[in-house]
Amino acid sequence: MTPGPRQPSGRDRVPPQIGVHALSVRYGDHLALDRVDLSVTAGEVVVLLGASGSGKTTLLRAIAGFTVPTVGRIHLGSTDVTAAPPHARGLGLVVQNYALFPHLRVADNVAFGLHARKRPRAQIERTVARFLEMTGMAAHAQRYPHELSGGQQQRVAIARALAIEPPALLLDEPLSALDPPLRAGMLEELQRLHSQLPQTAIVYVTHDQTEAISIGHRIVLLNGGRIVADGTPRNLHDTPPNRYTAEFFGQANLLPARIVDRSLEADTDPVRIAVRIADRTIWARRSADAPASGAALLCLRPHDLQLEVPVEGTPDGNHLDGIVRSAQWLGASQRVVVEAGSSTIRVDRPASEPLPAPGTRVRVSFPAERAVVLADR
Amino acid sequence: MELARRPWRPLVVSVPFVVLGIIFLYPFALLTVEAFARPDGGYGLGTFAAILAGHAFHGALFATLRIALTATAACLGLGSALALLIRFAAFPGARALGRLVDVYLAFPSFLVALSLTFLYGNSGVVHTLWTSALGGSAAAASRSFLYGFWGVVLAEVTYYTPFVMRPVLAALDVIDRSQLEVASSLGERPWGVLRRVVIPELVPALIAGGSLCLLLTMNEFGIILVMGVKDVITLPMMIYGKAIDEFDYPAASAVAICNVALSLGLYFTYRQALERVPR
Repeated sequence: MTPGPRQPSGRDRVPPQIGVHALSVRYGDHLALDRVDLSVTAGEVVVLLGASGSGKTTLLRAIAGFTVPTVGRIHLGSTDVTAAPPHARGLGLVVQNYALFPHLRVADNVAFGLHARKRPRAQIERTVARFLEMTGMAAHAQRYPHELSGGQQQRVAIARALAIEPPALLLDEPLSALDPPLRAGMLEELQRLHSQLPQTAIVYVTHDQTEAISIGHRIVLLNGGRIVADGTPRNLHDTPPNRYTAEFFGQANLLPARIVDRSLEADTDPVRIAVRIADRTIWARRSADAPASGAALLCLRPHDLQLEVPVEGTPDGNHLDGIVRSAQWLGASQRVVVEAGSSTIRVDRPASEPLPAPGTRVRVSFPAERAVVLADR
Repeated sequence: MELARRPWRPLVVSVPFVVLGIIFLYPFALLTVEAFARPDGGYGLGTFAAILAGHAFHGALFATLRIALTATAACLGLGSALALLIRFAAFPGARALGRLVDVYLAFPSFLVALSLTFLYGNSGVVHTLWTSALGGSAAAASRSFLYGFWGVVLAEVTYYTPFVMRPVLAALDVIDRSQLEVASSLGERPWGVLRRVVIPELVPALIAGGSLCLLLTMNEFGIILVMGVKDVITLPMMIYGKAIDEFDYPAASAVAICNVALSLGLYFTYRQALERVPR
């Protein structure tokens, strides 16, 4: 999505389009959502990201009104809609399998919500034509859903949800039924549509981090019914607050480390921190949730690492020595797995570099600003 | 090449045709020949002309269509409502009730017709309740009701409603629940979702169940005979009367041909209606 549409300070000033407050959902003994807070402002694209069973769809369904929360409140603008039925919430919903009405033509599908709202006929015709045009489906207005491809059906589903001009659009895994090339095209299409409707907030549920990065202004990562991270894609990628975020988001290398006593540190930069790994002191950035001392994790992204020839007697620095265990050419890049002490480090390099032979002694180096210390939880 | 490798294939293929010919086409051919036979040994349309001109045939045709259409309409309404209740009203035993419909369909129709006499017959529960509710003087009215048009319709609705419920339940099982949720999110209330999404998607099942119901009620014989209804003469009852009571086989055959023509016409209408439904 277009970078930087919302500044945090702006979010504070504007009342949220969607406000979720201490929301819990329990199914029998299973706590599907555990005291979740979320706010989405007008025009913001928030991605609910998480593995299967993380609670992301439950949260979306609670906002839509299909799941009754056990405790907590949901606000749309300044209205408390916690007890309101779905038809009274006025939110657009797009689901994974499109859910087009098979007995209605494309134009009638798009007009469905407008008829429910008893809009005048002329207004319905104008609105349907506008959104079919916007989604590139005007030429297919008189077709039935079964006569359309998956991508076209998804466009109709989006046009149908947008036609009621909702303050927020809820998208539940909208691209997961599409082939990968079509998925990339639809992501661009969604970005284009959102640029034409800049005030519409979007809550987008996915388990695919690539989708999340490309479309989200903000990513909310869920695990076990709780929000474990909430931030911009770049922040979560570059400075993951915890182990789960680092692992889920970008397949980071996580090496056990011990934080050096802060009193011994010569460096006074509050963001920089020194950790010990295998008798070596490493400088890194600290994440917001990093502990002050003791055991921690050093997070290294595979593509931030360099492979060098080790030089004997090199003083302390941001590098770890090891032995190449395997090297694999992946077309656009190569992945080298290095064993450094008790740790295994994955390194992604450009495909143009020579592929190192297994057994070769190498040095894995990285700048301090690309290494992050985070809590081991 | 194919035949050379499997010389027995034509023989195997011809078996169903031969069996079908012996058990279905040959008796039907005999019936057709009988319908067109003249007393002088020749063939003609004389029997048909006489039957079609008679008031008895018009009355039987009218009674058949009236009973069939009324019973089918009632079966469609009741069957759809019960199926919707079973699938959407989450009550204990709903699934078991759905399976009971399958069991009911497996009952032999004669047995069901016989059991209906215990419900609607002279000593039946309905008759007893009717009489006790309205007093002894109402017994005659009860008899005329139960052993007339409405009695037959009531009995047929009891027996044929599951024939509508079964396809409707099957159609409800495959309706995508997310369609109902999306319709609701688009601002439609529950009744609107039912009217604008669920019922239109049930149309093929309603056409299938309704057509089957109409065909079966139009040809219904066992229920009327076993209940002992005297005042209602339908086409099947007329065929029975002509053949068994009057020994007038040409007339019985001619009425039977008309009955078959009516059923086939209905069947083709059903096929055409089904093809027009967008799915």
